[in-house]
Amino acid sequence: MKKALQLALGILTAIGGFFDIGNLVTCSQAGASFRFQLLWALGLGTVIVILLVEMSGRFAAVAGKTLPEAIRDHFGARMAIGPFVVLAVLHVMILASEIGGVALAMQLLTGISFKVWAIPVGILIWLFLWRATFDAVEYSTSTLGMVTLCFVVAAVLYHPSNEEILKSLLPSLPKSDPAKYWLYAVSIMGALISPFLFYFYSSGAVEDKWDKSYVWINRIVSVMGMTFGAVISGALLIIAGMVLYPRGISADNINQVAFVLTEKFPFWGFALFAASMGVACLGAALEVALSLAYATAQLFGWEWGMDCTPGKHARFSLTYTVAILIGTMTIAVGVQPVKLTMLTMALNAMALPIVSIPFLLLMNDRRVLGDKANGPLMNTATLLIVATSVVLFVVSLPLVVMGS
Amino acid sequence: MKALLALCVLVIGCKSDESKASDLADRASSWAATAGVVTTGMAQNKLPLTFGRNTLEDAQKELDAARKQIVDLRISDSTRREVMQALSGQADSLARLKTELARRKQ
Repeated sequence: MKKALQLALGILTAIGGFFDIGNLVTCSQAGASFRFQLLWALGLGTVIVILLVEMSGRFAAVAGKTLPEAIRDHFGARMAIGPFVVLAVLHVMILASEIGGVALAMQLLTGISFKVWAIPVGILIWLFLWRATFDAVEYSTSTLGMVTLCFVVAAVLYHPSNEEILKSLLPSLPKSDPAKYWLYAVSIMGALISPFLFYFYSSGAVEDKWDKSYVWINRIVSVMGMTFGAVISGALLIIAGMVLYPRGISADNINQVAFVLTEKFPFWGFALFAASMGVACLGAALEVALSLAYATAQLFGWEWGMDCTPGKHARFSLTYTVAILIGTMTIAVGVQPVKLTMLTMALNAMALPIVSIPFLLLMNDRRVLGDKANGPLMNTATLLIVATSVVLFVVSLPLVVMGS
Repeated sequence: MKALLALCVLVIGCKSDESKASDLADRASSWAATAGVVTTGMAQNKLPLTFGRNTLEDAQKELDAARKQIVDLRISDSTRREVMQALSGQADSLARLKTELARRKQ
């Protein structure tokens, strides 16, 4: 019974934690510019993220260690520090984007600039982390995150062509503007395969004291949670494809997207969009800030965990405090959250080899994982993920430099 | 192949001024379309007034910026004329939407 409850909560968390500013921006821009044509990038990214999340959860459940701890133990602290710095910078950029997302949602609701909202939002996030337990952070934001299901309902009400959706799940070449097309494809994958997701998930598994008996729960949570999460992102892409694309609206600014639900929900559509955006970004901001604090503490061997007072884990708490401060100030000085998100998501895609390569080695360590180590099928899948991540790195380099 | 070609172009150099001009025209027309949808939404009470006002202001700013930028681009006179004409058309329709909104409020 306890495990069934944990399974349900796990799936809820995965769905709620999946959707964030990255998915919102990249999917609405992709739908607005290319209708459903980029759904394949979402599909491919989802398969990759399911496999990586499953492996990070399995490793944590069996070894009782999180990813950063395992990377430090396996490769040594010196080898781990370089990739860590890259991922830490990315974490801070994602955190700034998420804070910007909440601030933009407040701007939509009040008409007051996101720059003004950045500081109150930053304080709210910091207070939540300072005061709440891990379970409170995890379950409250993910339960509220269910509001994003309004995108799925709206997409169904639009009656998109099933044939067109299925066709779009297969990669195809763009009819126009190839540079933009590939930038969006790379950014969609970057938004899906965020490093914070794996760090947060494996740290959560250790915080929740998972053991070998949780391997099957982990499998169901990663498959169902990520799939449902991707359905929400796909729904937004479809809505943007049906509302913005025919009107030639390019979704470069949040004001060009905020009305997409009003046709199907005339009275509540606008508020639902703003609430979905605010809640999803708030949840993601909490997770990203925590993920960075987890990774830093685990790499340097500090005390870590959300269930102790900040005074007891001072360095852990200081890490997320500094990250929130930097993220907040970035938005408060006027950096545009949508532009920052697009750049960050493309950079995320570039950093994918740093995230995926360690999986190949860690998941084959039979001394640690025993019979739960990767078999030939999972190793082939991991190799394909590593190959895809290297291709994404090569493709996104010129796109980031010139395109975004 | 097209994608590879686009990548090569991106790696070798910046976008040509002609394609920048076309991007500016696209962006301006995207904002003009946004203004139209938002004005209709406000008229039907689907969108709040503050959001509508902010969006129309953003659209105006984008059109003004596009007009300024087009002057600095090295493009043929005919392209410049075409883009300027398109921008003027969009500015006119935006002004009409603003007037309509003001009249409705009264």
